[in-house]
Amino acid sequence: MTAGGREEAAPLPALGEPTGRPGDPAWYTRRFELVLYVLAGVTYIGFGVFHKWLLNWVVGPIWLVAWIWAAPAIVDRLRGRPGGAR
Amino acid sequence: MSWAAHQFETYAIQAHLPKRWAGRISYLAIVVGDQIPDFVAKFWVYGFDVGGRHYGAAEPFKFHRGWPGAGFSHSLGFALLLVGLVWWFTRSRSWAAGLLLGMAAHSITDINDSVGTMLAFPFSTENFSIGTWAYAATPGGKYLDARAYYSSFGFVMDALWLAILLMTPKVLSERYWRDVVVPADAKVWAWLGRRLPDRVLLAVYRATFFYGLTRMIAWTGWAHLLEPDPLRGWDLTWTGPSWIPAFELSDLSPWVALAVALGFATAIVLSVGRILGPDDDEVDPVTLAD
Repeated sequence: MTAGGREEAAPLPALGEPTGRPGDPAWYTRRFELVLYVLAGVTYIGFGVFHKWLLNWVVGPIWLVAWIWAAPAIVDRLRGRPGGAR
Repeated sequence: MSWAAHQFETYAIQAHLPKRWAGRISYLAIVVGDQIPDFVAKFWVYGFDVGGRHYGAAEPFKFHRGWPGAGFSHSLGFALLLVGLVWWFTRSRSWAAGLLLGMAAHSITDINDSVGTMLAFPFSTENFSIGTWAYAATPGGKYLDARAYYSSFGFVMDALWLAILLMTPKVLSERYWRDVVVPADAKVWAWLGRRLPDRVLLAVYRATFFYGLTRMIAWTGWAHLLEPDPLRGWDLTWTGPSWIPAFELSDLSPWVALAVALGFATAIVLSVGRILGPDDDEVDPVTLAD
């Protein structure tokens, strides 16, 4: 069962397929999500080495969560389809 | 002290829980437990500046790990006290067990630096250390500490925990999170799930790994690529690096420290077993996610 209460039995979708999770836009694939994780990591390291106050246990986890949370909504907005991502 | 090892060890513990405990111990509690020892002490170790004046411990290693000081935060006694309080207020076996495992992991990992931890507090205020690398926190802030740690066996310790974690990469998978992590802490994840989409919850679960990996890369890259110091480079010798004084609080043999750490770990395992009690539904933490 998922955190939101959805029964889980089917296998996870392939990398290029939509995640199918509640709250994810229809275009949101696992590959896109992987890219987001990598981008979050690269940007955090990039900013962190020059602004070391960012390298702490509060900002670090929030950095990733913010990327994963906000990026789909931002993409939706840029495409002119707000409301797709929760 | 240890750096990213404290992030990686939480997943390593989660992935290698005995079958009878899988799905019964809160991963979030393991993370919180692993943070608590330094949360209690660390703010004063490096200190902070206000109006050009520095506030913090004059001798960080004594404050952080000694007595009088905050050294009790890295001990069995403190862990049991805190777990007792959590149990008293919440009656949650999964949180009590998770907190205990997290705090124990942190305290045992930190015996690797030259100062070590007061594992046996309150029965003893002796510090137990095997001196794998130099404890290097100074009132000057974390830069020198970071450079020393990521030039010594501290880096190797982080890499070792990362390797142990990556031996069971499924622990980071969505399937594992759904099938093992969420059921062990159903109320908390359900509460979060009413406010956040699943992809964000999954990111919350993976965030500790993200932070550990990125801080390890960032500090190592800074110390050896971006701003290398020819006088303060790599030194993979015991209790290294030799270019910084290795603070100590005890002259006990490392073998004694190892024996005490083993006893400490045994006491923790027995305590977790007592907290969780018997269970008929045994699940495999790794194969369950297949």
